[in-house]
Amino acid sequence: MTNETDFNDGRFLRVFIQHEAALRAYARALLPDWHAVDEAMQEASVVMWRKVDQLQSTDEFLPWAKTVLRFEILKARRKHARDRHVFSNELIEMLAEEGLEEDQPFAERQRALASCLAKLSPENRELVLAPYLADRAVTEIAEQSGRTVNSLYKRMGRLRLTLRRCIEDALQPVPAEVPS
Amino acid sequence: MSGPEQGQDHPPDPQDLVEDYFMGRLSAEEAARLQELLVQDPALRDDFRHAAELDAILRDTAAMQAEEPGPLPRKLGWRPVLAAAACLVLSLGLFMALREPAHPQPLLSELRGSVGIIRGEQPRVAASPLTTLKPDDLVVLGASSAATIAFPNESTRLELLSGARARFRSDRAGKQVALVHGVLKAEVAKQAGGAPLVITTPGAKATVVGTRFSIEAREKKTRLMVDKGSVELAERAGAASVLVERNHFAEVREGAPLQVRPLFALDFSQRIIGVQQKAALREPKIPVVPDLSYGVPPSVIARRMRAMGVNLVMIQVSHGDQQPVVQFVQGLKENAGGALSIVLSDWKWHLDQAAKREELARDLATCYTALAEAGLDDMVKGCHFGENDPLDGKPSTAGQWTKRFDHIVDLAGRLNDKTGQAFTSRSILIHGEGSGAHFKGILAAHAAADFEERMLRKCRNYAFAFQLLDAGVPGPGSSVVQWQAHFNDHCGLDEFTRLGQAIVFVGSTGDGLIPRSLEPGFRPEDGWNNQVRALRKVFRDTKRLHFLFGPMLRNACTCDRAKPVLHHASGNKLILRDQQISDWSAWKNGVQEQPAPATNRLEQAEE
Repeated sequence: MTNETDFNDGRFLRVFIQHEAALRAYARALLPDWHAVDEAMQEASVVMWRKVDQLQSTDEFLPWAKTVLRFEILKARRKHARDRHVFSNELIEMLAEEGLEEDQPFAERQRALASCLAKLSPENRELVLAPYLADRAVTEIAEQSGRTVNSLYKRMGRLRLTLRRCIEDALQPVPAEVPS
Repeated sequence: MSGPEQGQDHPPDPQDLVEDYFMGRLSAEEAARLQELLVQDPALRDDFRHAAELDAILRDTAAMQAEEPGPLPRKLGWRPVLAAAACLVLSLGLFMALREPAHPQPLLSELRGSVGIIRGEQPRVAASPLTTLKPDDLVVLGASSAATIAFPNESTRLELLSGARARFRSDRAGKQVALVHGVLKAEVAKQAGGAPLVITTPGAKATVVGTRFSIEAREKKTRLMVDKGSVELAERAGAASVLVERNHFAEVREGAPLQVRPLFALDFSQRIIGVQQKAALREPKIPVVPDLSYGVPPSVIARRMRAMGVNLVMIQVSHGDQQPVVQFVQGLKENAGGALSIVLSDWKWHLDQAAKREELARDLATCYTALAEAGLDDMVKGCHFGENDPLDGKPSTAGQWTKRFDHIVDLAGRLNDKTGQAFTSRSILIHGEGSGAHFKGILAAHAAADFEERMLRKCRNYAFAFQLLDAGVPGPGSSVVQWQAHFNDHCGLDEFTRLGQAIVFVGSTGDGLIPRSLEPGFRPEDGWNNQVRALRKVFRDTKRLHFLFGPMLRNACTCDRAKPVLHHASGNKLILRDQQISDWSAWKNGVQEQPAPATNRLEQAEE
């Protein structure tokens, strides 16, 4: 194994960090909540660290890491089997398999979202980020604004969908100019 | 599109179900319906995965916002990946339990050897990398082990060495380390006001705001050495405290006053550009050089060194009269002062014999003592244990390195015994195996010999020295590429890289570089200089920037036509030897640090 593929001297962490966000998103599609995702990531990262010498090059890392993560998620699913949001094994396998292919580099999605978020009003930006910041954040916004929590979640759902579409638009290739 | 706020009220549809799923708002019936739709519709599954990605990115974005002042309470305790990608340590925080938002918890980031955790009253368990440490976790290291503790969102790194035991905690008051025993090396990012990093040992308490240092706890002694910034050290039993500043150290020990004393070590994070000068010319009679300046005024030598960018002079010590060395160093001190460091060098074969180690320690100590008596010890930043029994071009082995490490530790101890422990605050350069070109086997031996921990009790820091002598040959007429492979594989420089230690190229003594080796455009038919060109490439590629090359000056003689003597003395003038100076410059300029290529898209995004 050459230096470039030697993962012992901190290189593992570097390549892991490079792909960590994409791995977390991959896991999110397969698990019902963030707590389960964090647990699966923790377990999978240790397995990756132990087995990283299987790799011949850093280019192989992301698909390999997704495979490791997928296995850990299947284990984790047993813990969450009673959760109402848990999908069938058949569906999880489909999502896991299709998620191995990366249609767009994750970093590009991150950049696109930053741009789309910037187009939101401060109020809507605060709303769409609120559930991640504090357990009662949405409730507090509802109390302050005189709206119901349900209506805020509906609005949030619409904003999220619009953000998704905004990202897809931003990632569309720019059409070549047709000479007149 | 005109913006993302164009959404209007609309009846629930598959997309709403998807978003409600990620917001945790689905009923059981809706979840079942969503599952049904997802199984049937590949396009919806794509949307579902994109919604998961959106959820992940929003969460990261919220985390970044949580790091900034704002009205919302903070739920998340890590910085998002976009920011984390800029720094290795940052992203480790994504593994954190997310319960102490403003106080990122310590976590084990890199482990080597036997590292365990004793949690409360429970038995010791093997530690895993990326484990978040709880306040009552006692991290316990076995022999030949090391553990790095990192904190999310900052570059602070704490490294425990073999045999150490410590607990770590982070809360509103700052970061606290209870170093029960052993050595902790630290690089601490600037801490928030009122929340310093505090290290307590059985006898002392060190308060850190942001700096680089190491601290060693023993039963009756705590020793703190500061490379950068300042650290407050206080006795736990008494009331005394001192501020230990950059390049100083202090010890808390029973019955001794708490004093700050200067460190004299080399800083291997700064490039070493050196020359050699000899106080004795050759074995076995080792005639003393009566005047190391060869009649050239020290001011001229110092000025020339300044022009060359020299910051280190390695002096091959004399085994006889020490006055010539004292005068030479005195002249450098008066004319160059703090711009130059001195390293004392000597070598002996058969260091497996205690008597030879004793001789080598004695010869170095004699020179050091003479300089100290003349008030010049502040110029001496370290010593160099030079070449040992040749290997006749064969690669070294882990067994040989294990023995060499034992000899080096023993030598350093003997040297300290003879110099009032002077080298515990200085640097030691360790020559490669044999004549200096061999590092094969060093990785395993370094860990097995517990060298780091043992050596750091004997010196402030250490590095290795490479000499291009007796390296063996890949074959007749070898190309640059073949030589590169030879240095990496046969000589073990590839393996050395993984050791993570500094190395200094010692292109001196007439046995290393041959003049014209690096002359631009010089291509002898038999390619004899491919060896040196390959070595320069290996050093450049691995960013090994330290070198020293010489001797600096000598009287003109026919004896050193093919040797890398950089200047000849002529009356009170220095005569530059063009070929040798050209090579010296070719190495200096050809082994400069190159800008690192961007390694991933996220880093590019950050740029």
